Amino acid sequence: MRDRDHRNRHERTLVGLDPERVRAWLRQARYVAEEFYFGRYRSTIARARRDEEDLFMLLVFSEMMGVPNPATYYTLEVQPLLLERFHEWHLRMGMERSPLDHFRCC
Amino acid sequence: MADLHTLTERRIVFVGGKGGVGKTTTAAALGLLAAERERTCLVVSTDPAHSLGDAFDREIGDRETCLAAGLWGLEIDPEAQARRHIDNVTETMKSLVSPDMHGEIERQMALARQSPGAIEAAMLERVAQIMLDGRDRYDLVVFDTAPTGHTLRLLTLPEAMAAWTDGMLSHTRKSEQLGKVLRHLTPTGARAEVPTPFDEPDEDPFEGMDRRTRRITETLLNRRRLFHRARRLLTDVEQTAFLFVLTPERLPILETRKALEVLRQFDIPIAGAIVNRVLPDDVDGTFLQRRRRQEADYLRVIERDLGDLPHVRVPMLEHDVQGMESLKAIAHHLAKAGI
Amino acid sequence: MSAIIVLLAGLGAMALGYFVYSKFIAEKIFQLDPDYRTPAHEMEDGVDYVPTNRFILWGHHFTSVAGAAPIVGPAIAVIWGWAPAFLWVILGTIFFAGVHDAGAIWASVRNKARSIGAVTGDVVGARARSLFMIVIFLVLLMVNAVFAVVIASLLVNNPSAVIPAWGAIVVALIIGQMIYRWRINLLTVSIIGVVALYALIGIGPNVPVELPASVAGLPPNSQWIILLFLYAGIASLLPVWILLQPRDYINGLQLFIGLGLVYAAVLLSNPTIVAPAYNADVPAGTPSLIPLLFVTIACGAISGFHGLVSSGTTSKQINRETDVRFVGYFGAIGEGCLALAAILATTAGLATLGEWREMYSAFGEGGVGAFVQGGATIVSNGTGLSEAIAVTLLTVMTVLFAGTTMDTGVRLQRYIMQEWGNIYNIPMLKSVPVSTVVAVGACVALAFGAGGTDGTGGMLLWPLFGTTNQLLAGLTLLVMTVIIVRLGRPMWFTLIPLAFLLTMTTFALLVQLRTFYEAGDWFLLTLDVIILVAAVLVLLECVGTLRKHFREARTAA
Repeated sequence: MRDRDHRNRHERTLVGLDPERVRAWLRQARYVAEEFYFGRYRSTIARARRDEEDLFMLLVFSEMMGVPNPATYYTLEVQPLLLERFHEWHLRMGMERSPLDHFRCC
Repeated sequence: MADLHTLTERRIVFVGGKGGVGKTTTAAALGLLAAERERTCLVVSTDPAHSLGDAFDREIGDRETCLAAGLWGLEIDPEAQARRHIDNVTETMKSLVSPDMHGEIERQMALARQSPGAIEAAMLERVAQIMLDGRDRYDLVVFDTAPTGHTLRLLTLPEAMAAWTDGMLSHTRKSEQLGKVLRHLTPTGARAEVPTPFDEPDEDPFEGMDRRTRRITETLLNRRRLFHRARRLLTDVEQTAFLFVLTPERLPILETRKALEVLRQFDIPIAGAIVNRVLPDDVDGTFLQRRRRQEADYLRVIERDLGDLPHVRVPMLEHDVQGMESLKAIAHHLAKAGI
Repeated sequence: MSAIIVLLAGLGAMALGYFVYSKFIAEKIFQLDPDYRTPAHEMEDGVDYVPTNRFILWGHHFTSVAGAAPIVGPAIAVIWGWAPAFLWVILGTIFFAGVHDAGAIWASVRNKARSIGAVTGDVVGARARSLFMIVIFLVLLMVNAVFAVVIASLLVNNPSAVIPAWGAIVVALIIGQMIYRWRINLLTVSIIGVVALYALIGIGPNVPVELPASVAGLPPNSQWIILLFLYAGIASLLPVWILLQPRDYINGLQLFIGLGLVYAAVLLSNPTIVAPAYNADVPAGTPSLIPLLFVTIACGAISGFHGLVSSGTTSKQINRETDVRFVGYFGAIGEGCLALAAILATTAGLATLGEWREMYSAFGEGGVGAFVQGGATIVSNGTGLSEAIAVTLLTVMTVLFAGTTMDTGVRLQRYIMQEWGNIYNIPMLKSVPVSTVVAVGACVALAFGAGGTDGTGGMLLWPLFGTTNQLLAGLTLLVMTVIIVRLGRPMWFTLIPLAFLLTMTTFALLVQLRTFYEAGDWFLLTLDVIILVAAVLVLLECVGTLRKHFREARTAA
């Protein structure tokens, strides 16, 4: 089996086409094309998603920012799940300090 | 329509009314009556100032306690419930952040623990759970509720909560959908010359995110399910009934009238009312005779204003209702009135 | 003159500019540092801040900056002959646009990738920042109005493009859903998108659509303008990924196909430039070449809009600081190539000088119409495509570019309105529907007021748009100059373009002021005065700021 593979590769190398290199080249080409054409598309989607999550976060943490929230008690258990994102979020909001008074995360 | 005669055959009965009209006594007597009729019964007190234990003249507390053959009692401690919930959250939070921040989390959570909203919410959650699981273990669950305003809020909260969680869920769903699109748009081919968070399939950065989204969704869904089911059960005419307790006095009548409107608006089935502590015909002494004449006026008002509501009268007893014997006497009166 | 020679001369000069001048600017003036930790790494978040391969980033940057403006401007400006337009595009790209675009990215990268407006606030001052906002608002107002006029006249003159141009919106919506809802394989999506669009272009000539000669007393041009703004208003309210992003994606595909087609056709057919190198015999009423040429061609030679793209998006993705040179400068060259294609199409695409003179019978005439017709002739001669298809293809390409700009423009304008509503506490402006209606209303009023109603006078607005765009570029150049002065490096390479731009724009505004006064066009006169005020403020800001810094530098020395 391996012998045959070896031979095949050898034969193709003779005509200047190493299948591995062709495949790698194709992969690279596909990567560049996808990135080139869909890169901007992707960042738009990523931004839309982030906005959606920011809104969610705002709703979850609203009580701590002085907005009464009918369900704080229930969202409390969601808060730890959002904790890691909270840091980057409040940085992005351009706040020097977290709105969580007792919660210094910088 | 629910009515008083079949009250002990229902699965869930809420006993409510203004403070001091004898809700606890009525609830306890009702439980006793059901137990005598061989229906296992749990009487749950939701009033933060518990008096269920006093009525039975014994300690009950926050666990199901056997009071008589087929009769159990429970006094919910919402503060303990809220503490447990918040402690759980605190633990999860701690596991996610560096140990340096544990102090901060403790401080933050200590504040949350004492908020009135948290206690109310904890109570609601517990009531909903007992409503749903209680049915598996008991034939009848009687809730001795807190004074009317508080209770109304408790009964109408599930609707608001369900709407809120629905809103939250729609956001997570949209975010999840966008996440899928994002993954779809992420190149699968060769490595980039520059590392980006998008091109490491071995450590898929979205995997973590999605697990998080899934957990958030799960948490919210569980809540929503609980509230929706509690809400459905609460409005189920076959299983649930609300029983008013009032005394023939001005304020209890007014409050009952208001509560009636709200409950009807929220489609909560109402079995009827118990007019408690009616002075017996043979009451002696001029003072009490005069009281009785005024009481007659109020009884007429009850007939006029709450006439469409089935109601029965329970006479005032000679002594305080405390202990099994006097509760049995009340239960006997209830049975005689047709309950 | 052979078009190939002009083409190669232009490309050669720009290549030289890249290899020599941009290298000098990058190494000596900006002193780009490969070891500098760029914001893309510093603040990497996988959304905005993503270190990106420079070739890919160049593609994104180029598709963001390229639009209909580098086609429209040169297509009008060739009325003075091909040589002035050609020289301004080439020299402008090399010495102005390249430095400006790369400089804007550099200034932003060195300031936490903040937008050039915010950087202006930090480097120059709060007043300059407000000025920046006002000029941006004016630019948006004018770009929306003028592009509506351009699209309307294209659709009226080329009814074959109506179906494909509007059909492209449906294609974009479907592409958006294929990606969002069904998550279809990207290659398949691209193929379906391109095939659907070109199928529409193929059937376009068979089903020409013309609007009725008059609806409620409005001629077809006005009807189109109203329809376009109705569309732009609605589109600006949708989430970007539903329509705008898929449209943008189609434009990206179109840009390279269109550009490649025109360049290939020129090389294959080698058309002759029939227009004179310098048109000594311009139609009556044509303003003088100096200063109007320099504001008629803004995008393609230097455009302030690029500064916004450079600082808003591109600077957040720069992987190494040295990439700034390639991405920014080469992005400007890409735009220059588009402008060059427009010059060739409008001067070499017509059969005879007589035909050309007929086309350019007055200032503002010809323009995109000449680009479409001339370009179609070249493409059809070079590639064998039928002329009707080629006309439809180029019209659709231009319409799609201009239309996407309108979508974005109306959206941005609404944001600005809402922000003003917040700052000055005008509750009405804070609401989304109201601010959209106000934004759209202002643009419609401008398009109608500028004489776009019957499709004749609308292009009078074009030089004013160019002027405001140059003012924006001037502010960006000012920021760069201040930064460079503070660093103690030679400032001439940004100061001379800045001085040149400000001189030409002010000069052009004064010339036009007189024209509008003589023509009794009070609407445009008012607009001219507003822009003139903005220009004077920019000028004062520049002089004041630079004097302050010179004095500081002297005392320090």
